[in-house]
Amino acid sequence: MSEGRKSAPVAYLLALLTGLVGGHNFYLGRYVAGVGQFALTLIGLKFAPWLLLVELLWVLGDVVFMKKFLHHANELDADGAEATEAGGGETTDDPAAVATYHKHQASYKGAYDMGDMNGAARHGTLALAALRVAVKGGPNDLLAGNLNNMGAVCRLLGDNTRARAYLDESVRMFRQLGLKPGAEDMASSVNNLALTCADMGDHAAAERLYKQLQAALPAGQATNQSVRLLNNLANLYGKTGKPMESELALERALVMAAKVPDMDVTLHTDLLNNCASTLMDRQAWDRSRTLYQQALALQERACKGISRAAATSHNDLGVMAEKLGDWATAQQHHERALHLKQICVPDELLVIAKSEHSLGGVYFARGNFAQAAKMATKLVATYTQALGSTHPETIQARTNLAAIPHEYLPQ
Amino acid sequence: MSAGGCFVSVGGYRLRKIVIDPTGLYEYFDTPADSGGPTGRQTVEQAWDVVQALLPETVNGATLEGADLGETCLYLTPSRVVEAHAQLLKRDVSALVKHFVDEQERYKDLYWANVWQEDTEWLEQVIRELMQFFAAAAARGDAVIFYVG
Repeated sequence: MSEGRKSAPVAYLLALLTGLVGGHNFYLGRYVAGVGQFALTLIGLKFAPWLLLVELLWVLGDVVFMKKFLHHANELDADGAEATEAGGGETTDDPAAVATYHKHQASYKGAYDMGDMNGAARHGTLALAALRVAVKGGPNDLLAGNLNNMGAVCRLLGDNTRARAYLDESVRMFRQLGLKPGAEDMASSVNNLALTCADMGDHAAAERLYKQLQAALPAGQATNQSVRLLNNLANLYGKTGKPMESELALERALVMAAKVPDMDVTLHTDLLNNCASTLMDRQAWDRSRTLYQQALALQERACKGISRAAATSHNDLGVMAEKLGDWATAQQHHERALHLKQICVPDELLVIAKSEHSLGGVYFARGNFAQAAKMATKLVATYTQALGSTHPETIQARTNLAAIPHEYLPQ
Repeated sequence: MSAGGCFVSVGGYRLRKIVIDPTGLYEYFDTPADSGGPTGRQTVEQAWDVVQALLPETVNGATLEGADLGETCLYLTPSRVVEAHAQLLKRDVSALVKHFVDEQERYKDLYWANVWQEDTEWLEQVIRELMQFFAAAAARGDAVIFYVG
């Protein structure tokens, strides 16, 4: 059974009053450290009083790192025990459901961390079903969080109907639990729901949700949440034919992002890519290119540039080069984008197809018909696998292939 | 001790992690498949140079920068694995090996070429096993890492 979340004031108070005997460490579940401090104090008192000074430094060190210890203790608590708690602290009497939840949740996390959204959806569905049993349907904050995660995964997979159902339930449950839209967990749900609504064309609902979020966030404070909100609002404005508002929101988000001390790298990259794309639309090539390059530099530092976001930057830089007639640069960027997609989203065939299509076009434009034919053949295979042989995209890809001089077609 | 070549298949989504940080791959290769380790493995032992020459599609990948597995280490994305498998299906193994034996002069500089030109049965078996390995990897949507170490 869970012991509940560890409280920061209690931990600090214990460090102050019982730090020399490790009281705060016992409270945080850091038993080895607690026993060590207790033993050191005993030895110090009996044999070597100078050890008490060492002990004091140790406790001071603990105080400095207390936030980290608290986070770790609460994280472990969440992973290891929260599933046994229903809303209002009621406990489940179904340990089998809890065990099933943990098993699938671990697989979900593994798949999600690797970017395998299909795997995440598969395991997440099973984890969610077990969690519903474990917490007797809720309302429960862990269940609401899992519903949010599943909603986000479904949205990334393009299953917006399912995503919206999960996210509606998540937001409703957080409300039942008394959370406000600005609370971190709920903000994430509201944000994902708004994104899904926007994807589904329900722009009014999306705007309403963003406004709720905006009202709930502390005004003028630069945080990841406020940057994300502006970035998403900008996308919504872009979709609803308000380019000026969109660009303004993006510029504000960029200024704000520079002030956030622990800026989320993925969010920052997305923001830079979005800004760059907007600038590219109005042919501000130099500034657009600079922002794409900043996005790539961020990704290079974070993950050697092996990411879907980096693929987006390369793709757009390729498109820009095409528009400027610089085919050699366009080829470089499209080749890199395709390679990154093949690594980062190997089973998202339609995403890969987009790069195959662009690259085939560039090869063709450069008169490299052999490579163009190879790429066009691959594109036909990709569309056939993803959409079937009679889909209009597949038929169009076959038509494009047929336009390549016969002698270049692969045997 | 002479160098040996090995192909290892890993889950398609695992590849990204490996490309970002390829250190500690030997340890990772010992991880059981059900704990997230490699899904398959196929050694080509000292025939690695011959395999590369005869079946270039199996090594048509990118260099795995920073890997501590030996001098040669490269990876094929799941798309490349599917392509390699499609090309391997068109191969006639017996004809390929016969060509290798008949063209002694052409292949004489390959590592241990003369040994495999005498033991064609073993070489044929290695190639057939490698084809099965690629078929299985392609069916699972896996990536493949090749190294000589």
